[in-house]
Amino acid sequence: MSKVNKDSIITLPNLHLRQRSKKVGIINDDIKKIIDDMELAVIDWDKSRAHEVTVALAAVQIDSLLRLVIIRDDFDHGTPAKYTALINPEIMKYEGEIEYDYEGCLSIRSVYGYVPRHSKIRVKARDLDGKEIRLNATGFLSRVIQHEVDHTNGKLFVDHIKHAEDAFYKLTNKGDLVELDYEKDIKNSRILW
Amino acid sequence: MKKISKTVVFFGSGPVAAESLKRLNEDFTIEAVITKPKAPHHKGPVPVVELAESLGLDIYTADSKTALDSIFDAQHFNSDVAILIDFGIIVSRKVIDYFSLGIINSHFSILPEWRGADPITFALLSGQEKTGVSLMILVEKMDEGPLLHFEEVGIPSSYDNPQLTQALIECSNSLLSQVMPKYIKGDIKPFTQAKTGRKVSYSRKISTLDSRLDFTKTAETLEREIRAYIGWPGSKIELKDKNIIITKAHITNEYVKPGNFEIQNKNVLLVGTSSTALSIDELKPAGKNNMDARSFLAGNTHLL
Repeated sequence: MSKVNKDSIITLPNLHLRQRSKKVGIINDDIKKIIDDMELAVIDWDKSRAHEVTVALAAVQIDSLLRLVIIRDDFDHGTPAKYTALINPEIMKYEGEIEYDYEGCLSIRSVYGYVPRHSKIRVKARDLDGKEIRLNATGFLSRVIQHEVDHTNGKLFVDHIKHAEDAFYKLTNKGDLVELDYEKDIKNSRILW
Repeated sequence: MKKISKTVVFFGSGPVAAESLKRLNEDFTIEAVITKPKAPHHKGPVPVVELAESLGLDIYTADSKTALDSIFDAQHFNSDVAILIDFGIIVSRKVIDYFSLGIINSHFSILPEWRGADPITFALLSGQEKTGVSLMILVEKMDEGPLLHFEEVGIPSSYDNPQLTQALIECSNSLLSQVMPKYIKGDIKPFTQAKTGRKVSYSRKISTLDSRLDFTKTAETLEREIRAYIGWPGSKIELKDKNIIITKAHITNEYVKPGNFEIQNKNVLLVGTSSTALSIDELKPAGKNNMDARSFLAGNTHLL
């Protein structure tokens, strides 16, 4: 079996990213192995990037169509990074206000978006022991969970801003975001849509 | 989901900087390390350069304020904030302003106490029971910037310079790790140095001139000098043209004439000061290893 690394991460236009993932039943060693693989893929990917850091990943991104995500414990610092797994995460309620911020996706190469998200959500999931957890997420964590739950439903961040002409950016080699030309680079992209 | 990582630029040159960088690299994405180049006649290690190379970080060197300015003319840095520790070069207004959140300096005293080049040595010389670490936003005037945080560190009466330095490095590392992310997020409001309740005082660079033990001083002062100057420049006496570094001593209740030596029971070596005598516990004759008083007295009584 080949080793899991950053190249195990699938990217658009791979159509698996547009599929709904299946619920996880019993949390057995196969599931734990997938979680380990997700972490390995993320750690390897982060090493290759100078200006970006992975804050979360969904199983579909390593081509396992399961409702399974990992979220980095500390978004701003902490090396080696630690992750928490959420199994079958579900957003029970959207609250708060709509906030805009930049987000990117390991499965969408070189595009960042200025994406509206709810500032507060109530989440239900299971942990690795199968125990039900409920949490109220706010701020950036709320954004991250919405992005990942979207993945489990076959949705991507670009879908939220599909018609927003000024919401698409790319990251330069120096680490700055510069706006993309919507007409030229985005509107009729064969990769994104 | 991925996001753009918050990076920091690190300014630092000495061994304290290297120890800090090692830990900071675990907590932050270091965009670049700016450090002093190896001096032409310098034979010793350049710990920051060696560490940064082993960590695969980008390194820029500057040996002066103007050389530092020209790095910032030629290079683009993406970081909004920088951390400066044990750097050894004055930073111009231009470089300070380059970072929208400023340059954060970890200073090893509770400001405004012991501003200047050597706060650790001066805290030991003063005999105070505690010092600490301040995280300060660098301004042009030396060590006068507003603070983000400060924390006290106790000085046990036995502590020498390397021990206190280590304790302060650990305090600094944990402060930077806790405070910097909050500061970057905008959750910390800087405050003036007056808020710490400490009085303004100044330290200076220690020189080899400070190494000569002057027995017209009190035993208390001399014992502190020995702890403060250990490592460098050392506390020296000269016996028949031989240089001897005193590495450990304690204060006694005995009286000996200032500058005179007295041997007791072949294993105690007292020297008179302007107060009571100092008992020399350990010493290092030039070219020899560190030894205790008994070993020294076994072969060197002719020097006394």
